Amino acid sequence: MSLRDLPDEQLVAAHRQASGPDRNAILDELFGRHYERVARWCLRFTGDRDAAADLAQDVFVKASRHLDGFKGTARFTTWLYAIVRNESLNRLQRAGPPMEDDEVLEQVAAIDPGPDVLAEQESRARRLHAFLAETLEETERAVFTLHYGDGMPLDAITRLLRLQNASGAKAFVVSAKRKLARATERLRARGEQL
Amino acid sequence: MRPDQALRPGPQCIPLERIGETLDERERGHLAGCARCQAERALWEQFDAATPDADEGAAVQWIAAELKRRRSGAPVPVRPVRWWQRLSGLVAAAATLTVAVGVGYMAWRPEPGLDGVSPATTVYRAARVEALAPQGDVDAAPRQLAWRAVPGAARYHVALSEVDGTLLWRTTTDATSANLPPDVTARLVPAKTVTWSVTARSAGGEILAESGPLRFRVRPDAARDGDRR
Repeated sequence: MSLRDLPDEQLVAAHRQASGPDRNAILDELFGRHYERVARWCLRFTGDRDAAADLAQDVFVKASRHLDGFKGTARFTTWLYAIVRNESLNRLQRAGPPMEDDEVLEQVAAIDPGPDVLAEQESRARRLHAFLAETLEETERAVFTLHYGDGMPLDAITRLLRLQNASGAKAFVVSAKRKLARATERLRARGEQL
Repeated sequence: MRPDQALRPGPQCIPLERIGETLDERERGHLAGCARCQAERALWEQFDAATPDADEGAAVQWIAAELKRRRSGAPVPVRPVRWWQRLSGLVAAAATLTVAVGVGYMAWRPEPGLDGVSPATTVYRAARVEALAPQGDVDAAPRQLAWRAVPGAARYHVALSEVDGTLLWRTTTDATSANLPPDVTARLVPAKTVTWSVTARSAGGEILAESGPLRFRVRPDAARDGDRR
């Protein structure tokens, strides 16, 4: 059976047992199957062909280094996705400080019920997620979470989520902020807390 | 607790390695109420989608080919030379010859003002980025990398690595210097040799010139940043 006939997960297992040139041949086959998928993500994330090639190369270097850590409990594609996503966000963190505070975040944060103990934080996180789910549409939630949670640039979110509207992710952030502002006002008026 | 902290993955969130898998009941229940995991799932679905959109197909193909080339260690591909390009090369060669003969003639004639003319020297520099600093032993951790401009370059790709090739930092800029972030500078401790390189690319992405690896280290006896304060 040739390498081409083996599923990804078996290629990883074969890679563990192989040595010398065989290991490289297995990696060539395994990684070659995913070059386009990773290239597409990196292109959408960076918006620049050369930067995307550099990012994708880093992804595969990391995948190569950590391949022995792949336990086979998930598909190889899912495992690779985790690397792609983390490497992309690491690049954002290396590129500069996180985005500045935003008015809507301050507004929501102002409804702080008390001391920041861990249990309370988890509880608040759940309440905030429920609040977002009640207040925002699906795409607004995704854009809001990626932008404010991960600091992902709006143009990258537009490309990654393939948003087709004229102003892309920005429009969803604007509408999300408007809805959240109204919802927090209503909460305040009722004397309720998140 | 700030909402942006709450938007980051929590202990209950579905691990990234599971986000594309068939979810169990607990995970499905969590997904229904977690904006974070819903966003991750949306990203995953885009990652898993099989084909690029029409507007990105060529770029994706180029990147995939570039990955394959880099992995194989093959040299940067040279575009095929067309007949008119060959012709223009011949014209350029003829022009160079004419200039060389002319300059030779002028140099042979002892007229003032032409001593030291060497019109061909810059031609050889064009294939190499000339680094300015840092190089060799330096007194303190540098905060900036600098090089000379390359004619026609639209941007410069800069990489800083450890001597074993581990990437410490990289950036792309259209300037002829790049400021190192403080967290990177902090890692440039005395006696540790690091390398950096610059690649100049045209607007079309073609490599115009490369610096090759440039080594430097902070002198072993230099005081660390924190020590000086």
